[in-house]
This record gives sequence, C-alpha cells and structure tokens, in this order.
Amino acid sequence: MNTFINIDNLKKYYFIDKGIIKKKSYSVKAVDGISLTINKGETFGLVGESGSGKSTIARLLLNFTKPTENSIYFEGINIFENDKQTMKNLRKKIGIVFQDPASSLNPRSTIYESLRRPLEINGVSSKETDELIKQTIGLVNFGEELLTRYPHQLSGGQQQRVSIARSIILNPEFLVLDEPTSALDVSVQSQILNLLLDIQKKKDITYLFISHNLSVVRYISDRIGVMYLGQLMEVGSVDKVYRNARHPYTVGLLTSEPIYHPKDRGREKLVLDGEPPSLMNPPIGCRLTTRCPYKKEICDEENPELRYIEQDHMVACHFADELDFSKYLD
Amino acid sequence: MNKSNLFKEFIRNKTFMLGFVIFLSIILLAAFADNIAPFSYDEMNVQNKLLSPNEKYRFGTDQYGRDILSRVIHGSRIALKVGLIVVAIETVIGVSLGLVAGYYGGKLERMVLFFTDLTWSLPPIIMALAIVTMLGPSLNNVIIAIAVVSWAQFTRVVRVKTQAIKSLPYIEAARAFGENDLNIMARYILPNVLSSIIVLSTLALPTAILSTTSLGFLGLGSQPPDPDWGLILKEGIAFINQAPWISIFPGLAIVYTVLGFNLLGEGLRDIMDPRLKA
Amino acid sequence: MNGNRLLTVNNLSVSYVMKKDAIKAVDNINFHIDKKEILALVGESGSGKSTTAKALMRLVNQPGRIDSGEIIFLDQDLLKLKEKDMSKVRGKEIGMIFQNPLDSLNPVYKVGAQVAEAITLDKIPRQEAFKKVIDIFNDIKISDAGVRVESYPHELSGGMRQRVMIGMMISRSPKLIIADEPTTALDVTIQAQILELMKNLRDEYETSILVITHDFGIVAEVADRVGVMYAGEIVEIGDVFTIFENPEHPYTGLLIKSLPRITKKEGRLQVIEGNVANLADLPEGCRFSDRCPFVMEICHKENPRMTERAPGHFCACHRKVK
Repeated sequence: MNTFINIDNLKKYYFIDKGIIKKKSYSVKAVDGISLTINKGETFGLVGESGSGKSTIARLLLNFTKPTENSIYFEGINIFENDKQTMKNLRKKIGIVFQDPASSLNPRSTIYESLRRPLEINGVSSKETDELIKQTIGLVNFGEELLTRYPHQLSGGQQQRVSIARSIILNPEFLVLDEPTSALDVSVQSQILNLLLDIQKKKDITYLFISHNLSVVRYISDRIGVMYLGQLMEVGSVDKVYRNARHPYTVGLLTSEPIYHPKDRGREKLVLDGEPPSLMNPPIGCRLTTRCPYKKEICDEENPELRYIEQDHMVACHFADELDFSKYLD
Repeated sequence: MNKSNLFKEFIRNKTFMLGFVIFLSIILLAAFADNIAPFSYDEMNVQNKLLSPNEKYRFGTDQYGRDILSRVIHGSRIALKVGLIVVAIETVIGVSLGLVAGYYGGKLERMVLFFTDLTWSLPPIIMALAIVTMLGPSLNNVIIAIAVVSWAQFTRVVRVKTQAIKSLPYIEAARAFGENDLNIMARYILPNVLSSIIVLSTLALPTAILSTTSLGFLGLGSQPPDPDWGLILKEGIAFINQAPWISIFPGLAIVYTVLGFNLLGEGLRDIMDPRLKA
Repeated sequence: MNGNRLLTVNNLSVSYVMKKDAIKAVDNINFHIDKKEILALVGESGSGKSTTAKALMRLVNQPGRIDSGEIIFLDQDLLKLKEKDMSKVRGKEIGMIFQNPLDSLNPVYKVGAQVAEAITLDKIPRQEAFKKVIDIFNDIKISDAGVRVESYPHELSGGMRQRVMIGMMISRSPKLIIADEPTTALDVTIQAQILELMKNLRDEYETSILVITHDFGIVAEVADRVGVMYAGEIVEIGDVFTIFENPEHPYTGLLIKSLPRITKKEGRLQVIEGNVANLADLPEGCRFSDRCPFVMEICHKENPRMTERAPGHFCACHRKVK
C-alpha cells in the first residue's frame, strides 16, 4: 500500500495540568483519530473552523511535533521514526507556506538571503544558487530588483510570493499550505491562488491546502476533508462533497458561508446552534451532538465511523443515508 | 530600519549625543594616554609629595610625589579595559543561557532560571566580594567576579524574547528546510534580539566600572602601583584632610565616566528598544 | 431635510501626519445613512474604511487628524461639538463594535457588570439595570443568560464575546451602530449568527448599522446599500442589488468577480493586476488607473468625480457603461 501520504488513525493530545493545590490533568484532543490518504499530484483541501485540528495536522506533517498515537507515512516511510539523514532528505521533499506573510520571513534578512539559506544548507553550489533563485522568483512573479529588500519593505502579496518561492526552491514533492491566502486582500488572493495552480502544473507538486474558507478550498482542491473538533466528518472529491454533502456539519458550513449575491439571502440555512464544545471535554459520541438538529440517542452513545456512501465520498454520520439536504444545496 | 533615518534619530537624541561625546573622550584619553599625560603614572618625586594642584601638577601630587593628573589619565585605560571585558563576558554568558533556556524550555530552562534567580536576588557586590576573597585579590579576579554575578539581566531579557520569536512562522520555515537548532538560535533568533542586547551591554558598562572600582577601593582589585581609580581613591583616604585632591580627582573621573556611559546607554535604549524601560 | 435621514457625511477628509508628509487616508468622501438601514463600506487595506468609521466617532488619534468636512447626525454637525458633548453622543446615540471584542471588554470585571455599567449612564438604578442586562442577553440569544452575566470575558468564546459587545452597545438604544470588521475574527458558523443578529437589530430595535468590511459576502448577506472604497475615496455607492447586478466602477466589478465561486476545472480566477494602492505613491489622475483594464487617456490626467448613474446609484469613473 504505497499511497503518497497516508495518515492512519492519527491522534495528538496535549496534556495540561491545572490547579495549584490539587493538580488535575486534562487532555486537549486536538487530533482524535484522523485517517486519510493524499494521492500524488492532487490538491487535498482540509476545511474546518478554529479548534478543528487542521493546523495541528500541518504541524504533524512537518514533524514539528510528535503524535500521541499512530503515524503518518510519506511514500511508505514513517515520518516520525527516522535517523537524521533520512529526516534531512525528507525535509527537502516537504515544504510549508504559512498564513501570515509578514512573520513568515526573517525581518533581519534580505529576500535574497532568505532564499539562499535553504539552498546553502542542502549543499547547492553558489553558482547554481544564484540561477536557482532567479528562476524561482520568476515562477512566482517576483521582481529581481526586489531581492535586496527587507520583508517590511514589501506588500503582503509580495511577501507571500517570497514565502512560496522559498517553499518550492528545493523542489519538494509535497507542499503544506496553511491558510496561505487568509491574511491577504481579496484582489491579491486570487493572484496567489492562480499562481499556486500554475506552479503545481509546472513542478508537479502535491498540495495539502488548509483553510476555513470554503469557496477558496472548492476552487483549488481535487478532494476535500471536513474537520470538526479533531475528527473528520466528511471526505471525498470536491464535486461530490459540495453538490451532495451528506453530513449536517458540512451542510451547516456551506449554508453559513456568506453568499455571492443578495438574491440568495432567503436561502434555507441549516442552523448549527451554539458553539463548539471545549476540546478538553468533547462529547463521547458524535462530536456534533451539542449542535446537530438531527441528533438522536445513538449519536450520544456511539461516535460514527467514516464510511463510504458512494464512490470517492465518505461520511461519518449515523444517518448519512437517510437525511435529505436537497433544500439546502441549490 | 532605514539606515539614514536611524542615524538622524541618533543625532537628534540629546542624551545619546552627550553620552557619546563623553564616551569618545574617555576612549581618546585611554588611547593617547601616553601622549596626553605630562608624566608617567608611577614617576615618583618625593620632594614634590602632597602638593596641591598647581601649574606643573594640575591635579596635585600624592604621598610619593606622583602626578595625580597623569595617574587619572592612565587610569582611564584600566577602567575602560575592565569595563569592556566584564561586559563582554557577562553578555556572552547571559545571552547564551537566555537563548538556550528560551529555545528549549523544559528542564534546561528550569535549571537556567534557577541560577538566574539566584544570581539576581543576591546582592552583587557581596557576592563579588566573596568570590574575590576566595580567589585572591587581583584585577583579573575582580573581572571574573563581577562578570559572574551580573549576567542574569541578559538572560532574563533574551529568554523572553527568544520564546516570543521561536514560535513565529519564519523559524518554523527554517526548521522545515533543515536548519538545526544551533543555527536557528545563532542566525535567526540572535540577530532579532541584537538591538536589546546592545542596549543592555551599554547600560551594563557603567555598572561594571563602578563595581570594579568599588572592589578596587577595598583593595581587592588592582594592586599598587597601578593607577586604578578605585585604588587611587583608597590611597587618598589616608590623606583626606591634608591632600583631599588625591581622592577627589579619581572620584570625579569615575562620576564622569559612569554618568557618560549611562547617558549613552539610555539614549541608545530610547532609540532602539524603548520597551526595556522597566 | 429628509425625515428619514440619520447621518450625512459631506466632504470628509482625514490625514495622517508623519514628520513632514501628510497622507490622506480619507479624501473628500460623501455618503449618508437613513434610519433602519444597513450601509456597508467595503474596501481592501488602505481604502480608508476603518479611518472613516473612527472619524464618525471622532476617535481619530494622533498622528491622524480630521482635515475638513461635516458629519451631520440628526441635526448636529458632530465635528463642531465640544468634546464633552461628543462623549455624550458616543454610546448613547452612536455605538461601536470592533473586530476584537477583547479590546473593549475589561478583563477584570464580569460581563454582566460591564453592560449594566453602561446602562446606568442613563440614570437607571443598578437593580433595574441588571435586570435589563438579562433581558438584552436573552434577546440577542446569549444562551444561559443568567449564568453568562457572571462570566469574565476570557471565559467566553469569541462569538459570545462579540454578542456581549453588541449587547453592551444596544443597551442604551443607539440610533446608529458602527461595526468595524465585526466578524473577521470569528468562525463561519458563528459569523452567520452574528450577521443574523445584525439584521434583527435593524428590524426590531430599528437601529441603523454601518458595517465596515473587506468581505463582499458579508455585504451580500446583510447590506441594504453599499459603498465601495479605494485608496481613500468612495468610488461607487448604491443599493446592494444594483451594485451586484450592474456595477459601474471597474474595481467593484473586478472585486465581485474575483471571489472564488467556481472550481479550477471551470477556469482561472478573475484577477486584478498590480498591488493594492500605496497611499504615499498614488498614480496621477484616477487612483485606480494603474490597475484598471478599461483605462483611457483621460484617466491618467483627471481624477473622475462622482456622478449619479441612476437614482441613488453613484459612481466616480470616466467610463460610461451604456
């Protein structure tokens, strides 16, 4: 079984001790049993609100933090159990782009420096370095004359282009993009999204695109996963999940999303009452029980598993087959 | 940080400029002591002992007929050298510990904090006294003693700043393309806390000079006939009624230098890192 | 004067003065808000929308200053009021909701007490004020109101804090609420709830709302009228349906089109070339001329003035769409 990226029932709990006199241990179940596969060459969109665990997944993929249980496999290799050399090679193959362009770059380094360093560490000769930098910034539409500038002298869009350039300069096979356009102005956002698509074509990179913005994810992804409170609610191809969403949370997200035209104001909304419960104290059964309008007894008792309801479309809901969401979905 | 704007800011700040002028004067004095001082610092002329300030001996003479002015001028070399070395040692120890504690956290941080709090809470002069008493009186031991009790201020500031920086995306990006921990601390975090370190170092200079002259005054630092200001002051105490100038002039030199460096440091702080004003 | 008119802004200009340069963050803008209406001011960074909001409340701090203009609220020009009279207007007549409610909630007092504090400013005795707080909390659907009033701000979630903020603001029944990016820091599902709440405020409390946002989706969701700002100017303003159906200004049209609503298989996203305007370095003539796909010669020479294209629909552009 050699899929490109395989996440197998991954769990990440953070343990907190509270209290001075009587210490109580809490576990924050940031990621609570995530299983998914990413295929080579595709863009997998990971959607969720705050507390869903999507950023934790990004950190685990980059090995910035270790899982509590189980693992992630990159081309068959367990990314957490490695000697230094293998890890170093692995790091060349996986890149990351962050949300905030301004803090993604070292304020004390020029742009040229920031792009040179990854090459220097990985043994690229200085002659090749110069060419490679110029080539890469060409790919991201960043002007050569700006190479001597410092990050604070650039606009948000330009900073993000540099960030992207840095992430692809070692020719990675996989790029994790954690809310890469959320901090950008709308007009710049579409430039960057188009840019990411162009780069993907030219360099054949697999993307994991993390965002809370459903329309952006719909645009750029091939397949998407919807996360809530550390678990996956629904996974599948973009068309199937958006046109035939079968999980109340997904439908709730879709109908809460701001519309594109005032004429859609009167649309039917699936209202998810209240707020997500604390990650320290999630419901025992299905995570959505505190807010789901369709919940029944079984939902409190049993956490539903992800299962197929059609090809390339999985849902974690006891009533996925029965519920009819057509009035919400166009 | 636009370089020309920064330069203009420095010039505009009166505190900084005054401190800088004083600083420059001390450096020039120390550098050209041999040329400026009319006599050498240990030239004894017993017939001319205990003379009050006059045309030949501008600051008067001491009990051995040595020219106080020349001794004070030459003393600036000791003061400067000692000050700079002490601060250099403090900075290196303090910053390294701060970086390591802030970056790694956990047990390492707890250990460093333990020593930092210990050093911070005990009165430095007493501590230094104890150390020099153990090691024996000499200028080098005084340097070591003062440096060893004064690094905590650097550690505290650098640790907190390191913690703030280490979770920023550009640090994670560096880890992502393979930077090791040492490089991250040295190439990414250190340059970004540099402005604070510069300010702290400059402000630590006057304290270092004062502390070493204090210990010198107690006879624990330089030994005679070195023209250490603290030592000259001490030697003059015995003659305070007949020849007060022996103690007064090195005392004034100390005040001048310490004041100047304080102004320099405060001016720097106001420009580079106002948040250190705590 | 139109009996329905609540606020009229005439020729408002606001600058930020740094050393020797003055940057005009808001340059000679005109707009109005009627009673029981939601006006959205939409724009990207540097558009001047937040500065406008602050100017209305006369909360523009150094180095900013209001250069000129009139802000006529009911019958008074707010810019001519003495500060002590203006502070009576704030909170009582005009309320403000910020992006981050933590900025306006005092962390050491319980939220119920804070809202009650606001109410007592109208000479209502404390006991009554507390009862009113619970009523308001129930009205704006803060669950378990009785428990919530005893909570501290940090114990509440982002959405809940925003509701408390709104509760505090409406407790004195202001006629106008200025909401500056009220939902930017909130999750989508919570955002939807807050937007719904704002519509209720307009309908049931008859409060007008000025919403400052960068998100056209929010505009589509709640606005009755919308003004589009670019580089310190209002480039287009009109009722929301007209703006979405027939935008006349190229910037408006491009902004609406660049929202992703397709999949990549259906094509590339509409893009606006270039970078967002730099207020320190604006092009000659029309400020959008260096990015506009319909640019003509005159655009480089003359900054177009606002003209009425249809009743209530104004646009500042040399290009006349048929």
